[in-house]
Amino acid sequence: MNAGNRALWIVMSLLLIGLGTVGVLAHYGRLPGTDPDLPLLSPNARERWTSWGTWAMVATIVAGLVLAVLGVVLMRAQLRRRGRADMPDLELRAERAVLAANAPTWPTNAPISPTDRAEPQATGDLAASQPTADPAAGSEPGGGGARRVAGTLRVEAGALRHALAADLRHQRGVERADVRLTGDADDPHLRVWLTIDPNADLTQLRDRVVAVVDRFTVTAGRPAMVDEVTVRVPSRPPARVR
Amino acid sequence: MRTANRIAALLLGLVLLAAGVLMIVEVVAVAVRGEPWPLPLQGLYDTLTTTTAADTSFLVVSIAVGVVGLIVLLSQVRPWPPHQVAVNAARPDETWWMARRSVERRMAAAADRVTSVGGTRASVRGSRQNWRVRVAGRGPTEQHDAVADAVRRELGSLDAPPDTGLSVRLRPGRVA
Repeated sequence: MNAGNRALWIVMSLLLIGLGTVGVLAHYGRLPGTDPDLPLLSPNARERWTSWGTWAMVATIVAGLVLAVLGVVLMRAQLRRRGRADMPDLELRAERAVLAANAPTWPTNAPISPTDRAEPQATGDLAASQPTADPAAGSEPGGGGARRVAGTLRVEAGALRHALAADLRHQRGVERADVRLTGDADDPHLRVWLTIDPNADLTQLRDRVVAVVDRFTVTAGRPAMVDEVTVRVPSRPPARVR
Repeated sequence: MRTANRIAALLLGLVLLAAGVLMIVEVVAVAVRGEPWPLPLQGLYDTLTTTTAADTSFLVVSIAVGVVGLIVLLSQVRPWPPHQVAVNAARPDETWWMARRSVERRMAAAADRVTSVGGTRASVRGSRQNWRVRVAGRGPTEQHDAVADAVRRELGSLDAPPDTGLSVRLRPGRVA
């Protein structure tokens, strides 16, 4: 985006310099094919435009449309977020055997398979965890009445993001933290923004951030890839130690 | 500069959109009502059909346009200091950035902590990956090495790339 904008303004500046130069040359009569004493717009321009009839209007409308579309494209490019799309909510498919055929609840202390490392409590928000009986499963052979129950655990990406940011904020040396989760739900990528204490040691902080990301991996049940960590120090002066 | 460019591009987009919509509306108004609307373009038409290239106003506007173009061009082609620089070089699998101003603040503070040294300013130049630090402040010139050591230690605490350049300049002067 930065390089694109820079190129855009270089082109615009060259255009302005060119226009200015042509204007000065025209003023002094040094521009071949022009007469400085002629008006900028011919006095019969309106009549000529009217004589073109509908085509003149169509051409003007098309030019207006082109300009408007260019404007929209330019504005969209400026307002577009950089990088990958935000991560969708996590959907954890789970299946387990329950002993009682009419057991209606989902035991919170039971392992959830196959993503048995998911801990919805740690995210602070469990969007949906209602188990649904799988009619195709039926009773397990020799299971003493046990049957398989399948369910979907949906964990909102926003909840994961907030939990991760909160965990980062609680680390020593971190004053503010913001996180963006991108990529597929199966392959989360992280972009992290940290405002740190002016005296914080970045090498130690890195270890703490790695630990936080490891905890996130355990919570989400998916290994998270850290794309970027951007660190800034607030503008107040650090403690002066003599 | 990056933010200024972005805002300027946003404004340019807005102007293009407004100009395009206005052109369409004016033409449709001419077709329907027989006169332009919402902007009465008669004044502009009269100006353009009476102004010549020999007029002083035309020369002034042309020079102004050229000068604005030159200013914009110079602002774009001069080297920009990096917005943020690479730190934590020990983990090549992750990209850690630190805001340039934050690095400058930390380096200046590290130099300021050296006894008898004060009024320090640090500047970071170069590219995001290959950057260098210039530190300038007041203090006895004998403290040059102490300041360099302090800044090097601070660079170490950021895990800055080992080849990060450093120059220290101390001017003799009283430190408050």
